[in-house]
Amino acid sequence: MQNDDTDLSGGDAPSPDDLALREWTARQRFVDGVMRAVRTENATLETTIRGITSKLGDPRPIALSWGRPQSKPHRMLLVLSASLIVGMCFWPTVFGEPLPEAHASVMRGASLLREEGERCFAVSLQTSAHGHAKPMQDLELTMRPGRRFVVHGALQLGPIRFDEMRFGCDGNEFWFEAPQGPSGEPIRRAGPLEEAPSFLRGIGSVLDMGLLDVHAFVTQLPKTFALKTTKRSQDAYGRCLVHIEATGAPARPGFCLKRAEVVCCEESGTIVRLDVSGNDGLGTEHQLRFSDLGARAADERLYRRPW
Amino acid sequence: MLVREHICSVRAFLLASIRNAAPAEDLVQETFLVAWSNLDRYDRTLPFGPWVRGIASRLLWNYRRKQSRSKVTYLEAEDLQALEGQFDRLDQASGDTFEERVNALRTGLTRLTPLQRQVLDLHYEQDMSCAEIATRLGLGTEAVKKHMQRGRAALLREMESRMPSPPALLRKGG
Repeated sequence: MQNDDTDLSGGDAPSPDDLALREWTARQRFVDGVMRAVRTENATLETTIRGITSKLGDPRPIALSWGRPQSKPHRMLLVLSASLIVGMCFWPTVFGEPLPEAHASVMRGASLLREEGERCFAVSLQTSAHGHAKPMQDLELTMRPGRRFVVHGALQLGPIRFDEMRFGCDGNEFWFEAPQGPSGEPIRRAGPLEEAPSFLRGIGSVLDMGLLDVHAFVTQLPKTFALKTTKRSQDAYGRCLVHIEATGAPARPGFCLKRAEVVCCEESGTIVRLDVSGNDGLGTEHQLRFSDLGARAADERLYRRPW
Repeated sequence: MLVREHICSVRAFLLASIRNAAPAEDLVQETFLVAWSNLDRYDRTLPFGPWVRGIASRLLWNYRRKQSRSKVTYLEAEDLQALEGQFDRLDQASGDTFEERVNALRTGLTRLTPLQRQVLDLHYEQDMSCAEIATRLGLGTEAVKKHMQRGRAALLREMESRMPSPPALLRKGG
């Protein structure tokens, strides 16, 4: 099929002097190119990608032949690029640019969340109403893509404190369990997932169902927020972190998001922190921080109602 | 990551332009290497896809000059621009990846006539030329061309149902 242009002439093709020929040809070629690209075997694609990435480290600049000669890239740029080649990702975030690089980083993080199965996060909740901050609450979240999660820890709901409570979802059913309620009796509730948000609001929780499904939330970020890479930093382990700010969320019922920040490890692509701030529409500001605790092997039964 | 995100689109564009797999593969590689070396010229407020395809387009012209005696049919500058416009629109189609954006293609294939589907399958899956397909199916070459062209047109209609309308997104004068 090499050089086979025969199917683009003759047949239904407009005559050469027809003004419609150009558009017709472009449309035919467009589908032709997409068809050929789609049928490209993965092995061929990987070979090409390897060919590209293996040469990216070559310090010899390749000038655009229709433009001015390029100056030699700055040494710092080379160092940064070399480290980024290893990870094959996130190099654009170095430059603090908006889409599509921030988008790519977020989607890479979401992809890893999906691939790694169970992931644990330390969740810190901080609320403040009318300028008065309440004590921070710490919980632990174990989640798996597909709206499966378990949250456990101590939870203060107004005057009521649960020293130990656990709630979760198996993808279909939402459940809540506290061995010792305010009256000393255990509390157990379960119901369809659709009713969970109203239940959480009913017990005064600042946790939002959409946020607890971290994978779904991160996947949706590029669709609901404007993303921008804001800075790079280094954590206590020496990892280079990329900070991506998400702003401009649409209005939604319940917990209304104002801003989110995704912090990704530059090398691995893993999301190491997710900060979310918003309000409940009643004057209470909420700040939630999800700090990655790593992957964890967990059984499917973990997400099911314990009783 | 950026290479992975855009390589399918760039490859499709080059294959559409040059319709010859071997030089297209070389140009895909060269495109990303040139892009990397010229990152300082990339306006980061604009999408990356059109920029990198612009590089591919320029490299294609260079390649054309070097291969001036080749029998490969090349596009004129205006044709290439129209083709770039199609790919710009594809960038705006629903979906996060190239695979997702061209998903309509698969749906479209199921809606073709059996003969159109067979002709396209022989052409794209088995690398057969129009003449070879004509011999295999006992049809005339012109008939094969028509089935192939109409099949592609039907696939494009399916894809266009998920793409924005052309005037707003064509970069230069629609």
